[in-house]
Amino acid sequence: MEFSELKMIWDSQNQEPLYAMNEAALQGIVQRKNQEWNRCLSCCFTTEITIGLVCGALMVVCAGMAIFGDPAWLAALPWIKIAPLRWDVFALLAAGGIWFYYSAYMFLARKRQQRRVEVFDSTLRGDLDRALAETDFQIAHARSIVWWGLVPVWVATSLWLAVFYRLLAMPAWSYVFIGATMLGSFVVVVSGKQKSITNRFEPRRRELESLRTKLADPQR
Amino acid sequence: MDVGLMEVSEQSRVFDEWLSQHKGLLFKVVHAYGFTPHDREDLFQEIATQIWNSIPRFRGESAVTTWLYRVALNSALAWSRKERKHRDQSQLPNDDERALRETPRIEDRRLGWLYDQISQFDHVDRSLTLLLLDGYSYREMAETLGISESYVGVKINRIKTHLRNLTKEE
Repeated sequence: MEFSELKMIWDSQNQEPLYAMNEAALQGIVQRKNQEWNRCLSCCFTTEITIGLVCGALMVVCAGMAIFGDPAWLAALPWIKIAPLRWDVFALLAAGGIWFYYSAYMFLARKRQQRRVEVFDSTLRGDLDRALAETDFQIAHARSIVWWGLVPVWVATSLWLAVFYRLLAMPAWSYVFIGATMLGSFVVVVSGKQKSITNRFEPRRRELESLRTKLADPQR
Repeated sequence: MDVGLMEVSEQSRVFDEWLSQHKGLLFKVVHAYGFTPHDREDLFQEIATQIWNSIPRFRGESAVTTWLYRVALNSALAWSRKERKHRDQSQLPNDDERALRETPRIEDRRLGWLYDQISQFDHVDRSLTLLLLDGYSYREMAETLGISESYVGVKINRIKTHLRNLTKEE
């Protein structure tokens, strides 16, 4: 059979539509899907940014109370056993600064992610390149957030806990316990990030690259 | 049209108009990439969602049909990568929620055979075959896929030869 005959067979479906469309249902589905996706992405970043801002503000308020608070009032608080020192104030301010930095880091990451989608041309290859760039971004983000996001947050939390435990006059073993818990949770989070790179992003990247290679290489 | 400046009502109007005018094109992509009613429903929703999101970025540099083909093919590729076609069939939505319904029609065995053969091709060849059968020029195919016209020529020759050989075997 010649190609022209195949084309005639193909064109026969133009006279007789294969499907009927439920436009009202489709509009509803599209809007629902978009809302879900936007809500999910926006929610993730907003939560991270808000956590950073709230924790940062909390640290600064605590430091402010230690600096400007009435010593008699501070001493009357039942859970404070030891008067705060200058070191405690510095530690709280440092922890607050780190939390604010974390918020800014996540905000900039979100902006970078939004900018990524606009630079590629309107072709299938352009879309593949965009998908690859997005995957690269997710891999880079999952790696960099460990050192530039999680480690600082871990340091900030450790500083806050150290001050809190010192003011509570907690026994030495509790420092060891909380230190081990912090270390354990850090290892779990980092290994989770690594797993998402190995099991999710890298296979996706390989598949996209193979597709792009197929598009680029006439010999394949 | 500038990105971000389009009103939702205008976006909705363009979406409805394009879908009603060019639904045949979308159905072909859906049929070539989705092999069960559930696949097709899922893929059709995916394509429609991508078209909705991409409308504000359409700048009229190519024909609407070429642009829709690109969005539909790219959505089909992305959808295939996710391998959602293996999802539980019992998740098929009820009739009121479904956006796509297969119409009762006289089954053309040869058309079914053609779709079967297309489904055996890899993603790139499948996209090229759809564009070829719908009469797109090499230049339009090259623009849609982001590859050179000479490469399109090489691939098309192979696809035509392959299809011709398959019809001889039948």
